[in-house]
Amino acid sequence: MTQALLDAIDRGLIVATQDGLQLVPRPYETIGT
Amino acid sequence: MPELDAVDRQIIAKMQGEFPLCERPYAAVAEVLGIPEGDLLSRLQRLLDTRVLTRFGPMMQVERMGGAFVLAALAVPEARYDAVATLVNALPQVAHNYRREHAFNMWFMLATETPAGIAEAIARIEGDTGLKVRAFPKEREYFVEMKLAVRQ
Repeated sequence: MTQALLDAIDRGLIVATQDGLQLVPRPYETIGT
Repeated sequence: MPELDAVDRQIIAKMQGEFPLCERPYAAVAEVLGIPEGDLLSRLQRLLDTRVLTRFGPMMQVERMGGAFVLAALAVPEARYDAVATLVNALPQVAHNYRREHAFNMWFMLATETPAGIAEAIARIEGDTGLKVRAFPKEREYFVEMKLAVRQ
């Protein structure tokens, strides 16, 4: 996996949680999809 | 002010740090608190809905993401204060804009995706308001990790 791709995933994670973590039983799975 | 019961207070006290990185983190916290996972989720939703909590989620360190964070101040003529506040607050890079009793009477944070973005935001504010922005870049970081004590 390239560094650029990792950065894109990191950024996606940050964007997905900026307004807060989802209130669902599996929040990380929700972010991952 | 919404009433908080003992369980609400335990949730707030327990969830201010070290949220688990596991498949079902709410279930893990609920087990420690001795309540069902569904109750924890519905209580958190209620605490957010009633604005007891304004947000539940991770805090980002903008500089480690390649961005920048700078404290800034303006000396705003009193007659123009509201108009200048509107201009400053219109920028998405501005957060936490406070009024102060001082010659520098408007203090706010600038957060940008890149260090160069700070200079761009300052130039924009100076152009929009005609006022000089005093910037106070961070020289050293102190990790406070403020946690609020909650009465039981």
